[in-house]
Amino acid sequence: MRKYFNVIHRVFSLSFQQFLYNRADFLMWMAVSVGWTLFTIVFYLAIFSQTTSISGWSQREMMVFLGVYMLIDTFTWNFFYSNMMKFATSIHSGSFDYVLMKPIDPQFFVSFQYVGVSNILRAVIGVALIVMNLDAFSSGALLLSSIFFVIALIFQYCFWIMSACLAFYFERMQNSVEIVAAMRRFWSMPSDIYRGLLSAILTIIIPFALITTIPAKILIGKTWLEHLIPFLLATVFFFMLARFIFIRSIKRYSGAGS
Amino acid sequence: MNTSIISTKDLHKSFRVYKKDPGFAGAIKAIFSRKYETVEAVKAVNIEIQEGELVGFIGPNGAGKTTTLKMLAGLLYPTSGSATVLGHTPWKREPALQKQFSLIMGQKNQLWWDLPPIETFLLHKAIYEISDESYKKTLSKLTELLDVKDILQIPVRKLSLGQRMKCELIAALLHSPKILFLDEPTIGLDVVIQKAMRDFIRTYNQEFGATILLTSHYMQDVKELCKRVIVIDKGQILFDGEMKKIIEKYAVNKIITVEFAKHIAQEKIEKIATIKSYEDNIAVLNVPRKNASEVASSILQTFPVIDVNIEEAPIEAIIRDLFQDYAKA
Repeated sequence: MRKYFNVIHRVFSLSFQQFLYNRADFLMWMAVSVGWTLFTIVFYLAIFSQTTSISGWSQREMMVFLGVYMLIDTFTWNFFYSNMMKFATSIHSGSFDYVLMKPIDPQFFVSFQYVGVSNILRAVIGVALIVMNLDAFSSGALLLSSIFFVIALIFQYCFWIMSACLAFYFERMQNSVEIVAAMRRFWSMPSDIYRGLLSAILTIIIPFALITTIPAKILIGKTWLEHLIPFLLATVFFFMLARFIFIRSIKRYSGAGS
Repeated sequence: MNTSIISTKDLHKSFRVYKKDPGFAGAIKAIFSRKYETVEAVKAVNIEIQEGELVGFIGPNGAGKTTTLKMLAGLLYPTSGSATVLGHTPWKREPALQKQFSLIMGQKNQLWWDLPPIETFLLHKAIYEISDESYKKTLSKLTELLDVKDILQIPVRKLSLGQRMKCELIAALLHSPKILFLDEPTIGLDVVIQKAMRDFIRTYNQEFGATILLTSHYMQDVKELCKRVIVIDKGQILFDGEMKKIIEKYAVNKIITVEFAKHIAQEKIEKIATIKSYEDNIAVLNVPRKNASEVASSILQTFPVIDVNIEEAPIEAIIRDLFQDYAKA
């Protein structure tokens, strides 16, 4: 276990150094990220200038939700997208060879081989939104919300790794990870906006809609317990499925011609 | 007693390769129906390598060298057959084995491009769980042997190809592997760096007692470093033995170079031997191996000669003939 922490620490260090080395690129992406974040906030403020709630969520609650979503999105871009894009590309280029020959779990290594920092300000804005719009702080709620935040990340991660594994089966499929990037729309809105069959799919069968909703509801104090079992079961199921698919997929790896 | 640390038995690997019909129509057709072909990259390969050996693994492009190395390194699963490396099945990828070998590919790199090589070394230190003491000792030894002390703090992107390759070697050797699979380690390097790399490989084999399996298209690498060579083509082993045995077995001709005291008509020389080239009174003759002494003697008796030299055909030519004969067969 200590080895895995050491590797993560070293990868973090290398990634930050790389970003500092490429300062102009870093600053540009930082600006783009802040721009998109502010645009999203303005978008919701414009909606709330016309209405007082969206599916039972007030403006202040919605801003807390947005804050949680921005924190999740920071992980999405800085972590999942960067690593899975590198992973899928390495399958095509053959540089996955170097992952497979190392004495380390290959799934762990491809998942933690890099960390981006260009979206870090999005996380700062997210925290600010939460702090400014929460009516009351409870350390218990904060802890529970943090636990479900991590579970939500694990749930999301399963889909990143499964989509990246498509590159083992189809040539030039390194862009397969864009599928999950596009699915972010499902958790960019509270689960309450979905109705009927769509709600059943997105909150029970593949509960994407709960990724942001559960940690946000816990923070706000909205009822959320009805989501507990489906979300935990889905996370365990998809985590095992993702592991199974990864192990099966690497057997198909054929490298690239020398 | 069998002391093989690398052993393969009927190792076989086939790939399914997509074949596209030519042109735009072929591309459209491929959307609906694709033709696949099975390529036998490695066919029933049997290899035994003893501890401490430095073996050349040679063959033309697509012969199956890299595929074999990748199976031995556990990167590819074989279609059939078995292999053991240090008693482990490589494709089970057990850390106990992974900590004892390295595969270095001359055409690929694993160093972080924007950062100095020392940063990647530290990552490898964490991955291979190398102690501080061992890391410092090995790094110091390797940087000294490869003469790269001054470039470890320079971003990889600023290094020359030769410097990068040396740093790739260090990254791959920090954990002091017992077995090295070297896949074209000198490719694209200038002659000076090629020589430095060869010297390093020889020293590493001798000083560290490492077992090395080397593939290279540069016969000079194999000639200088390897006593034993394995020749592979179309996935099959054509020869496995000492380098000098290849010459004995496959070299049909010897080369006789004669410097005449004066110009001799080409027709007169051709009555004795086949001329490869004839310029400035120097003739290079291709002579059947068994007749070489006889022909040399005849030339000395017939013509005024300043100098005569008999040598084996270049190893490149012998290997080329070997592949050509096999292709025809």
